[in-house]
Amino acid sequence: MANLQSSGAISLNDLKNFFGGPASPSLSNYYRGGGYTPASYAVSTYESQGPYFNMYNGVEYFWQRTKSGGNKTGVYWGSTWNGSHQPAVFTSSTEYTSITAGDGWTYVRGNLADQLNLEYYYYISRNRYVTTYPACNTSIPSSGTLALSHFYGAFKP
Amino acid sequence: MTIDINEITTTFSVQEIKVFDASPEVTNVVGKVVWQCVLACRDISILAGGETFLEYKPDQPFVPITELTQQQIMDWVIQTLGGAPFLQHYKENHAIHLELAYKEKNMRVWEQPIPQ
Repeated sequence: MANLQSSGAISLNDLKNFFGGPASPSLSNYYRGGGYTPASYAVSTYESQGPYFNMYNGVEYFWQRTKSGGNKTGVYWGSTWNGSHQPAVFTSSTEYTSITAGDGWTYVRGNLADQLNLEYYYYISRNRYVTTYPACNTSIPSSGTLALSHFYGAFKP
Repeated sequence: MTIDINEITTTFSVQEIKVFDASPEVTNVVGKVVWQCVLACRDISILAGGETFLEYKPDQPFVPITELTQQQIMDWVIQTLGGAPFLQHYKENHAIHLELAYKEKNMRVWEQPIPQ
């Protein structure tokens, strides 16, 4: 990430060196959100939760591994126990050590917490990246009159 | 054995693709990918899986599904999940499983009665 100077003279060549651009750039190449001047940028944040284990009271959090018949992997996260196990976030007939679900969370099997016959129950944790796109270069017009002074402090991710 | 994250390799494969039609002209757009990943270190490997929804971006060049490769599809999936930082954490989160698999590699089940 970098910023263009915030004072002094700015030239078209400075814009080209900073943002890139065609061989002979004109100011109109540098409208915000055009090909060279970004209007937003990606910020990724890592989130992690757990490990948790809770099976029979309150809210369910566990990883189920079945060693005979049926589903081999079951991911239970945040459903309310009402006398039976509520639908899993994910089930699979393959035995996995982690599941990345459609919601973007990667659920990871933790330590063994309980065992009943050929059913194994584990702690579970989950993590994901959340990408947001904050606006940038808001002082640079996306259309209309454009001046070199608009580019003081311009931002490049 | 302590696993060095840099020793872990990941091999992603596409298991299933779900497609939709965005318009009469833009058909069979990849919308969801079911995938598996083999994480390996030395002679040990473990299996992870996932399903990821891909976002259709009309402003980006459209590639017909018949011209796509598995690698391209998995690149989109990994990018959707966070790119290189995701992969780094993905390996870190599985290192303990590889370590345990390595410990168990040369063990066998004791078939005799369990000592009292």
